[in-house]
Amino acid sequence: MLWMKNWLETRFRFFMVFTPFLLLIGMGFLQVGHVRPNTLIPAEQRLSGILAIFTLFWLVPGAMLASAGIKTQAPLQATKGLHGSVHFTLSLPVSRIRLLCSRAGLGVLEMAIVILVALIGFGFLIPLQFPELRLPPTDFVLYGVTVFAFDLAVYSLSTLLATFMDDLWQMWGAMLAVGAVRGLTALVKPPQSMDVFQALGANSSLLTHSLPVWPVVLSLAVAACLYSAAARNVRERDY
Amino acid sequence: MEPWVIETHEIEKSFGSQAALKGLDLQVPTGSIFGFLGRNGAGKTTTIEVLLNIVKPDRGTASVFGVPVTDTRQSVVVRERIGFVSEDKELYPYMTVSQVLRFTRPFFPKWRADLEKRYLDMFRLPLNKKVSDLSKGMRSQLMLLLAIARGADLLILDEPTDGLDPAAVEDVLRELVSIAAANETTIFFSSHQLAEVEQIAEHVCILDRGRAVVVGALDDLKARYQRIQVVVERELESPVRWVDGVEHVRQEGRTISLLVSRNVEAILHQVRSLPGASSEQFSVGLKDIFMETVRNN
Repeated sequence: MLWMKNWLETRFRFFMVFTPFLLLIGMGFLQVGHVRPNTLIPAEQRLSGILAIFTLFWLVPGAMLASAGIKTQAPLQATKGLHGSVHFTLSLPVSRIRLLCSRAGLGVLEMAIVILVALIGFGFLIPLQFPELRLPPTDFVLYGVTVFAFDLAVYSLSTLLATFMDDLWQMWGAMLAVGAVRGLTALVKPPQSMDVFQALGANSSLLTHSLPVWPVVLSLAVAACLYSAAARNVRERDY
Repeated sequence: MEPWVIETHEIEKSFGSQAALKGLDLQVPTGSIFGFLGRNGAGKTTTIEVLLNIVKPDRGTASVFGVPVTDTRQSVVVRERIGFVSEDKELYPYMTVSQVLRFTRPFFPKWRADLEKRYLDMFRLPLNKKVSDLSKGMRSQLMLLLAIARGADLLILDEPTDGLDPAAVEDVLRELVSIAAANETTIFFSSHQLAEVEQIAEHVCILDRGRAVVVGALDDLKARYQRIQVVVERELESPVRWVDGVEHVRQEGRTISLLVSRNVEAILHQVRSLPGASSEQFSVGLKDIFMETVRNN
């Protein structure tokens, strides 16, 4: 039953995230054959540029689909009334951690669906745009794993922020924080093999044909730490 | 069976610099209807939130059915036995009445389908209407239904009749009494409506600024508290130092009104010692006790 409640609460947000991805891929298909690529630039370089831009898009599912699990939410509408039902939720014989986990479970599932559908689209679109690269399907799977790990870290950050911030602040807070980390990595320049952002762009499996192990491990570790902190906050705080 | 369903000891809770509870001691007898009174901001809702582990006390202990409210594992099990109506009567606005019922039912193994049907009929709640489209009165009724149909051993109701019309209030109070009698359910309810509390409560607690100032069986309190009206020969020039038991003194000209809670004989003896004093004793209602004790503080 918690799943039903969570779905009713997150479905608008899910469609708000899902629809732009569909539109983007649809527009990509419409462009095939109409836009002539600049053949002076190597295909790898062109794809690298597109993937770097797409890193920003991968931020959105993680940041938007997360929540504190207990405070209800809906996009772009006044949520005061929704937050009022927190007391009713907390009077149910369900632990706060279970409430958080059920919400996170659904959020991660929604995120996985968005990523999967987008990657299936990519799987058809990129070979059409870059036939010379001859990308095998496994590269897309590895790219999907990288994106999912990155989004899991963003999702956990957004969940942590949602334990003490309101919906919109939580969402923008997560995006700004990741943006700040991106800026920092551009300045500090960590080793390429450790750079999560490079792993989604120039160092992605679509170009290196291998899984960027360390960025994936790092993302998962960060996600675990942030999610534990969120769970601790949810368990301890007053509502 | 434990003698007390709810027990708190020296509970303290502050929100920032604002102290909401300042050492609250409370014992709610099993099977009783317990009225929890206090002015706005007295700490009633905070107490209820502590009991449901929605907020955590800074100091002191609280237990429900003998289980400490801070025991997160056990308190989940205990909540299967608790029905709750929140102060703001907020439910999930995006669900229909039918969806809220479908959502809540599976959490409570002792869910009473018969009571669900009974109150749906009694309150005429439209199953297909969204909660956001219900009036405040209807939301109160739906919350009451959800609390009662849980088959709970303890109902914690925060202003349960808020938003209801007088006829509905009467219905609800009657139902609460019959539920308490039929199922030995303990009802712990807060209210501003002294008449409602007086109508159904067996025990009361008057809370003021985070402390319980009056606690006891309503009949005992009514028997114990009295008003003594004194008329003296001429206006007193200096205030009288009254003996123990005088809760509140009001003086207007030659008339002195005393609210006393004990030591009546000693107080009457002191009254008779005033120059040319004549006195009369009156029994008092809950409203007098409430007004005088809260004002006194």
